[in-house]
Amino acid sequence: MPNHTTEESIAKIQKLGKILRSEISREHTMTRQELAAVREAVRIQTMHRDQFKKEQKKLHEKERKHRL
Amino acid sequence: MDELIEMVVKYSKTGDPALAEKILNAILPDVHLFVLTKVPKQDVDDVRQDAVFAIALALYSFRGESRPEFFAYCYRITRASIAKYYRKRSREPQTYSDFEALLALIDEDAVNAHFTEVEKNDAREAVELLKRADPECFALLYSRHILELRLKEIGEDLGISENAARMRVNRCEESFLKG
Repeated sequence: MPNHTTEESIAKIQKLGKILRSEISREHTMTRQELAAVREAVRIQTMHRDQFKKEQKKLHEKERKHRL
Repeated sequence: MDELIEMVVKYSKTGDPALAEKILNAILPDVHLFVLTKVPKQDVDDVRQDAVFAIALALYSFRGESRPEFFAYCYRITRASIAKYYRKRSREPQTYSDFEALLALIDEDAVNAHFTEVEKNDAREAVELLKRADPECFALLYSRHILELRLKEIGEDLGISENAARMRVNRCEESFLKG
């Protein structure tokens, strides 16, 4: 291997990172299972968010009645 | 604001599933590269799937404003998925340096179309440089220069300060990357 400075070596490793990232984005796209996992996670989150909003609304209503 | 972060912010307001898929697709190569050297080859896909699910669940909670912050957030979640993997098997986390797999990726046909021969030779030389490093230094150099983690995150990962992480990375660069 030719002589090189630390900076040159770092630049080469960073270039390797770019090539690997580019190749992985082509070769390892999201699998069907991963896509299903993402959809399931979004569903769970939406459910939690709706539930949280309902509870917040109930709480506000309770506080309002209490003040009256 | 970065396009990716704009999508994350929009997703946390709208909960649009199509946006979540786009975001996860955009970060998938980085998550893959992160997992690649931390679990055995045959388990990379399973751990990646767990990490993708965990990141999708946590997307709503991201409150940062920059790309490095978002990637640090995703890597923290991925790290937890990797820890879960090792806990299940009652084993200590290890570093896996599969250089043949890295070299095979450089030689893929698609790479020929997008990178010059000089760039590919540099990448092959980089693999040789990483081969010379001991496992601890390999992990540090990979995190810093391939995953592009900040020293703060490397420190968090190792349970040391940012300065200590800087010193360790510098030491590895001096020991293994000088010609």
